[in-house]
Amino acid sequence: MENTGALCLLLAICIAPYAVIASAVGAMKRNRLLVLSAERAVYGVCFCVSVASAILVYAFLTDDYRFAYVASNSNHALSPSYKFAAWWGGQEGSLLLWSWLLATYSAVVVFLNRRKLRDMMPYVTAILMVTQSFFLILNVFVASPFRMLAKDGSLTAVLDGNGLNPLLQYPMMRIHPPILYLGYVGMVVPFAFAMASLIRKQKGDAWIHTTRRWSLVTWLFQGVGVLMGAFWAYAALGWGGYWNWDPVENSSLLPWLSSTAFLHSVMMQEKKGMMKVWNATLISASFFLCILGTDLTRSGVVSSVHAFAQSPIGKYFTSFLAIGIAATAYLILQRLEYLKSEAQLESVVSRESSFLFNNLILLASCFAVLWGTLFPIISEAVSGEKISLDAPWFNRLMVPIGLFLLFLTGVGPLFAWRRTSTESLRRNFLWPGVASCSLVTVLFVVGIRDFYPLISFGFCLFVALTVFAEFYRGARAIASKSQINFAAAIVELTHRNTRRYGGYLVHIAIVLIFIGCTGAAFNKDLTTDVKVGQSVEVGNYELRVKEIKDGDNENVIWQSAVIDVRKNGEFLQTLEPRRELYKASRQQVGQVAIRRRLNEDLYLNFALMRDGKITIQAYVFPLVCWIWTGGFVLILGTLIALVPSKMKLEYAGTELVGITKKHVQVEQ
Amino acid sequence: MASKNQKIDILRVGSRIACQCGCSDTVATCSMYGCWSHQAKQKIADMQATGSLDSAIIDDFKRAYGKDIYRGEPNTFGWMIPYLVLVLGAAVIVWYLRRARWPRLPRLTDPRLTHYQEQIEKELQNLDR
Repeated sequence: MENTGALCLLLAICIAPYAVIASAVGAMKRNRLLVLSAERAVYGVCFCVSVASAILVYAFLTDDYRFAYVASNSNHALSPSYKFAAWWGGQEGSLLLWSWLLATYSAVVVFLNRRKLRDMMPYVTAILMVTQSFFLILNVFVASPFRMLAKDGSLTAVLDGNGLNPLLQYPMMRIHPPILYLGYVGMVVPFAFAMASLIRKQKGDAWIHTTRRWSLVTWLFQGVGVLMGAFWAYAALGWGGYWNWDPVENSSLLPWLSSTAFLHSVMMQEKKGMMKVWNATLISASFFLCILGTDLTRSGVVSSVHAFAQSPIGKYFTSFLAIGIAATAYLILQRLEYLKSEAQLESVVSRESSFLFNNLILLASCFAVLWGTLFPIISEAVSGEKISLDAPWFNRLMVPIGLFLLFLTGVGPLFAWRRTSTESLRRNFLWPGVASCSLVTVLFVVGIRDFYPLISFGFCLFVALTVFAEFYRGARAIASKSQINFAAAIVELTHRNTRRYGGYLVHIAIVLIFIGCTGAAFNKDLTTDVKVGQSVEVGNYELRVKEIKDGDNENVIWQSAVIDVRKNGEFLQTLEPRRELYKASRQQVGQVAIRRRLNEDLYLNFALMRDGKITIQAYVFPLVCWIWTGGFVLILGTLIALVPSKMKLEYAGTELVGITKKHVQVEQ
Repeated sequence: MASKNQKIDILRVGSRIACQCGCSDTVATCSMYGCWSHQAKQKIADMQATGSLDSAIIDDFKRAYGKDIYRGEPNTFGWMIPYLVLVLGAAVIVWYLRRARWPRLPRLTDPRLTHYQEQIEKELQNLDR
């Protein structure tokens, strides 16, 4: 079985380069049979990688410890779901997951376009298979998941494996990495279509229309993956920190920021035929940031709680990035004459301008995060001195940028295309502006004096009101015209333009996330030693330690503190934070207890037991639940945006047909 | 320089010392309770209580754990670049707005064109529906 898995990957690495060559040659020589064989080869690669993946998963589920990867990432005590998740628990398996997702995406793309875009598809196939070949090289020659344990020249097996890293034994492990990878890997598809469009010297937007939904779904997976990671860090790391500007966290954020910029600026190309060069650059940047993120996570260049161990894999990623970026830049520069704008701006106060500033802020924040992640490495390479760019550095930079972006989120959609009149500005911004200023004043009066939280709450209300006003005005018009109730009118309004109103919901999701993050300015914490029977207070809560329980199972030895929670004398609930010692790895991990409410979370960590006293870390995190709620609204808004609109939208395209002299006479 | 808040003083020095618990944080930002950063903070506090300067405390840690424990501050270059990029980007946008703006043409006054101008305005207003 182990030979079959390795053989499948070897077969795949022979077929994938064939697909590249056959696609390219077939397109150039207009040989349809060769192109067709290349597409069949894509299905073949998908089949081979799928078989290899299935064999690895089977090895995990059957505890086949002849496989070195299985032995180092699994053990008997793991539940079947964690054994399955151990597939992506280490370097080799997660690279195989990447290859499998890429192969599957490629097969789906080829299948869906088997009867259309025949001029572009050979090049799309070639680019997909070039990327596939790269990852297969890693799977076969650098980080093979099918290495076997051997002793004295013959196969052997250990009695039990090392088990999965205890920090990874959390329910999110089953879903967070695959979701994030779906986002990372999916970015190759719009990139491939964009490059194919350039290679074919197309002036139109076929690649954008074809990949619009694909880009949106990929963006959604990335965003949800990032939020899932934050949720996991919040619950698993013991101090309620959902975002620490860790290099690996930053790596996941970078492509999401650039693809957010792309999803906005692409509207300019669709409606006005503008920013073609910019969009081609953005989608390329998004793809290469995915590769860079993977490089940073795996190469050991940055140290992180999320990173894999150091490995020599970094130089392969660096080479792929260098060659890919050089080739892409060359192609874009070569095709500049085909990417000229078809229209011009009429006014600075217009939606077109707001998109430009939106892109500026998103990409400035992307650059700031990238700079903060790479600067310690660059500085150490140049000067030899290690420097620290930690959370306070990032927060000083990113908070004002983020607030300005939040402001643009409210302002941008209300600017009209072409130009916005003063009357329109007054109508759209007056009442949300007044309401926001009022809120800030009230908050100031009741005692909130920190500048950034005040501004954040003010902007959140501003954006929310502008969005609600859009829904209200449109639904009111439909309700009165069609004689239907208001709720039905909102549904009808949304269905008529799902992209627009789905996008508005996504903006609301961002507002909710900002509200949740702003709550961090009001966190309370307490670290104290208590005996059983004693009480402590944190915020408005009284915590009384009732008893200490302990126990063990096949996997862990655990100890928990049973704590009664009271507020204003009223009993609320019992929380039971635990400390666990994993038998296989001898590693100690805490399992926090959280009381989640919309207004605040009460978060308890059982840190230590010493001299008859237990050390409790108690936190009150106001508004943090709004971040996770925002995640659900993000999913809802994006799904709505994916639904086809009731009314087919067509935009009048403009095209430069010629140049005339000045003061031309209009013919009668 | 000592501040009124001892915690600030400890974190100021702690932000220059790498935590040795295996995380990527400094002593100031590592939040794992019971890990090395806790005793490091205690040591910093004890040395500050005897009047030791920040540099002397850091040198003491370097002698005990090696010079790699030190984490320097980002220099001016490290701080400036993101803001420079933001300003540069804004300048590029301003340049693009000026370059890409439709030139102001003399308005055509032929009354026969009024009907067509009104139709164009009406259709463009519906562009986003």
